[in-house]
Formats: sequence, C-alpha cells, structure tokens
Amino acid sequence: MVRTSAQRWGSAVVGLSLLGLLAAQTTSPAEAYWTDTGTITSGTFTTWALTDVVCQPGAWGSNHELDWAVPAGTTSTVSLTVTPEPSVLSWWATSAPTSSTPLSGAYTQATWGITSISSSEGNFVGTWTLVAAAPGGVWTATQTGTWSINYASSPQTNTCTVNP
Amino acid sequence: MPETRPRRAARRLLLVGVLALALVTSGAVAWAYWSAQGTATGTAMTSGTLDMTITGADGTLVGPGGTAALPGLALADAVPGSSVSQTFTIQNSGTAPFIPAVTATASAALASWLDTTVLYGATSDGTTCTGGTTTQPSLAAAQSVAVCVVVALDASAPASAQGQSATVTLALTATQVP
Repeated sequence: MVRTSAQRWGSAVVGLSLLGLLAAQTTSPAEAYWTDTGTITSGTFTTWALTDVVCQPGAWGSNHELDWAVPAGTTSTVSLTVTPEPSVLSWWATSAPTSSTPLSGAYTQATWGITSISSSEGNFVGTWTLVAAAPGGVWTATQTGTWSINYASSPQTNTCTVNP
Repeated sequence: MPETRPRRAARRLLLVGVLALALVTSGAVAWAYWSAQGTATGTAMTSGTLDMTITGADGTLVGPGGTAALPGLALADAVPGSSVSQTFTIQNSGTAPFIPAVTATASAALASWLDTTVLYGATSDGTTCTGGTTTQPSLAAAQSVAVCVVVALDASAPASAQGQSATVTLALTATQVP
C-alpha cells in the first residue's frame, strides 16, 4: 500500500510526540531531588537627599531664614541675587550670604537681610539658590526661591518663598 | 548362528541409543547446582534529611522554609559608590548533601541601582568581600560555608535615585546533590 505524504507527516508527528514523552519521563527524576528554601531580608537602604527646605521671612525687622536638612558630610552653598543692590543708604545685615559672598560649608541654615534708612531705595527683590553637594561629589541637589524686603510699602513687607 | 546384516544394524543402533542416554543422564548431574533458601532479617531502612540552617543572622531557618533577617545589611544616605557587606553562614544540618544558592533581589525604586554580589567562602570588612568565589559549593552533612553579600549603590545612579529607599531579599535554596 502506498502511503500519502499526509500519512507520512502524521506518522512523523506521532513518532516525535512519543520521543518527547519519553524524554520528559527520563528527565523527571532530576525534578525529584529534595530542596530546602529560606528567605533573608536585609535592613533598609536609603539614598542621600536634600530635604525639608523652608524659607521664612520672619517678622518685620528680622532676617530671612532659610533652613534645610542634609546628611552629614554634605557641603551646602547658598547664593543670593537682589535688585537693586544695596548702596549708600542701605546695606546687608549679615556678612554671608550676600549677593557677592555665598555661604558655603557644612551648614543647614542661612540668614540674611538688608537694612535701609531710605525708603527711596527700599524695595529689594531677589532670588536665592541652595546647592547641596553629597559626599563624594557625584550627586548635587539644587533648590531655588524668591525673597523680598520692601521698605517703601505701607505697611513694610518682606517675603520668602520656595520654588516648587 | 550368524547374525544377519539387519540384526547387526539394529544392535548397533540400540548400543548408540544406550550410550546417548548415558551421556544425557550424566550431563543432568551438571545441571543440579546446589541451592539453599533462607530469610535474612535486615535492619530498618530510614530516609535521610535535607535541612539548610544559617547562623550570623536574626533567625536560623531550621526545618523546611523559614525567614530570617540581616539588619546589618543596610545603608543610610547612600551615594553612588557606597557599599555595605555582611556575612552569614549556611550549614548542612541534615544528612543529605546539598548545593546552596543565594539569589539577591532589591525592591522598589532602587532595584535598578543596587548592585548585589554573593561570594561563597569570602570574608567581609563591612564594605566589601574578600576572597571567595561565585561558584556554589557542595556541602556534605555538617559542613558549612560563609556567604558574603555586598550591596552597592551603582556609581552611575542618577539624581532621580536621591531620597529613595529599598530592601534586599536573599532567596536561599538548597538542592540535594544527586
């Protein structure tokens, strides 16, 4: 009897299936080995970050106060800009930070203010920038904000904000 | 009375038959091996045990399964390149030999940036492991091996990894040696 091509393919499929079944059966003993398992959980891993940045203008007559939190070993730098620059009748209330002198080191707080005896040059508007550098120098984090001191308004006002 | 030729032939045939019968019966002796039967009373068969236990962690994993903690394997305020290492010991407390395997998995946002290395037979100095091998050893009954685990924050971890936290889970499997 002459078999057709389809019959030969059918026989081949059946043969291969049987071989596969035999192979599966021959490997099954390997799956029967005994095992024991367990789980160990580590402690917590946290990464360095600049957090809790707050700037408060305080009561009129008080310095602006910028506070932040960083891990030990961090170097923080606070830089200021202001318009207009204090001149003859006004001056910076602190030595650093000012628009010309940043505050840099292992700080977590910066305060500044401008004293003026003339309302004509008394509307100061500026920005602040805090750059924190993590130990090792690979990571930095930057936070910015605005601040103002207005001797010309009535009542006199001051503000300090943290940019989102 | 002289025998006729047919008779002589018959006698020869009879003689050959007798000889053949004699040969067959003598051969039968060779088939009769001695044998004896008896019942041996053996000792009871008991199965072995496979039990992986650990020391150097909060927990021992006695018996099948179990969990333990390795609180010293942790980092606070990690920066790129920071690492911590810790050791614990896996012991074969059963009777069947096995091969231990330790697989580390970090969770959450730092999973991509925590690099974990497991070394068998290594020592720890708190930040790195010294010596050892990544090849899993075979432990016979009562044998043990020190396992040193190093977890490091990848040196290329981006700023987006700042302020994140994670834990590392070490999955231990002891597979019987065939």
